[in-house]
Amino acid sequence: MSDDELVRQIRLGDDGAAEELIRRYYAAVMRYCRWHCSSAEKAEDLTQETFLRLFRSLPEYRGRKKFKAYLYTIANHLCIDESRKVQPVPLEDGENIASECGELHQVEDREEVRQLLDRLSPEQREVIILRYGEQLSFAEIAKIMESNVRTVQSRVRYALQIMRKASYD
Amino acid sequence: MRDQKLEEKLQSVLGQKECPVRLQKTIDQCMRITREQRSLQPEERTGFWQYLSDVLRFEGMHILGLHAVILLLACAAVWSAVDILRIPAFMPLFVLAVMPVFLRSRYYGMSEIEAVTRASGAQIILAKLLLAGAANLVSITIVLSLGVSAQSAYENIGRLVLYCLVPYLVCMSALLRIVRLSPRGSTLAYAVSMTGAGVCWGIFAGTKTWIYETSAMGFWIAAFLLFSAFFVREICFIIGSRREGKLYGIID
Repeated sequence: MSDDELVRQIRLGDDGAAEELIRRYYAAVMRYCRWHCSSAEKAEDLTQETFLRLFRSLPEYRGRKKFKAYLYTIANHLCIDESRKVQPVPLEDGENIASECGELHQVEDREEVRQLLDRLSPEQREVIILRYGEQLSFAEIAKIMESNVRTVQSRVRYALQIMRKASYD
Repeated sequence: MRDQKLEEKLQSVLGQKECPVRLQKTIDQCMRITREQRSLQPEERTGFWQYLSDVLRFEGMHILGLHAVILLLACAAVWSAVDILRIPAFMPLFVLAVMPVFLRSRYYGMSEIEAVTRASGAQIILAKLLLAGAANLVSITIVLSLGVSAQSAYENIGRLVLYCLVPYLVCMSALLRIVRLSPRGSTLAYAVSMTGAGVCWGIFAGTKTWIYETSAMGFWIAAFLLFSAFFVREICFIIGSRREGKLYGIID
């Protein structure tokens, strides 16, 4: 069932559709928020708030296959608000992640990517996370960032250039 | 790091799954929000087509039953070699057949209840008019076809259509005007006048045959245009009231 169809069912009072929609996107939104937050707990808070805002504004949502962009726009705004409140601190120490996932090489990779992302401007970092982390299309990213598709494409291109250069160094 | 490798690494690291802890709590809270919103949502008015199907279910039998009776009478009269010019005399009777459906709520003092239902008064009238008009159209077509074929008056069919439509439009416009403007007591008077109009029209066709001559076609065309204008005006008024969701007619 498509996202818009699920939204239609929710409006008709189908609780099962609401649960399915949340389960479909919860992990993805949380992962997205996690890249903007200092702690996993904060990411959970933002994810929950994203869905609460989504459901409060659902009567005003006007479909047309743009649900994903709509959802990530809410998450994006919340993350921006959050980043204004506190200064970003390093993701977390390697020991913690190692204990959570048990895979040391994942920690190394994650740290490496984190270092590469730190070299980017906030806009470039955002498009990279949305493009490679959330697998969104350029059009969806453009909608979330209130920009046009060409700008998004060039931001991704420049961001990749910077990251390649940094990784060669 | 090679270009492709960089993109693969980004995809693999950025796309790593997080472990949701508060998923169920989020689901519960979102469902509470949707339930609250549902309870606050205003109930939607019944759509026109749904209402039309409801009217058909409740009023269809009355409309079709009365039409069948009058159609049988008209067909029997035409078949027993009644003058073809007397066919228009049945037109007021066809309008009479739909009259109970239009005026029943007023007769029983139920207009106010009908007006506060989820459909507007004009919507109710429009739905009934659509059903009644369809039944009238079918009946009149059958009677006309039978009359023309029984008496082989194929060359007069155009004129005959005009002879039938004029009394029909006169009676239908009067019925709609009564629904809109007249108080409750006029129902019986209207029923008597419709029956009387049918009889008068029959006598008129028998005695004043000159008015049906070819030279009088201008009179029929003028009458058709005049009463069409009245009829269209009533329909426009109903459609306008429906769009604005206004009450329609007099509620006593």
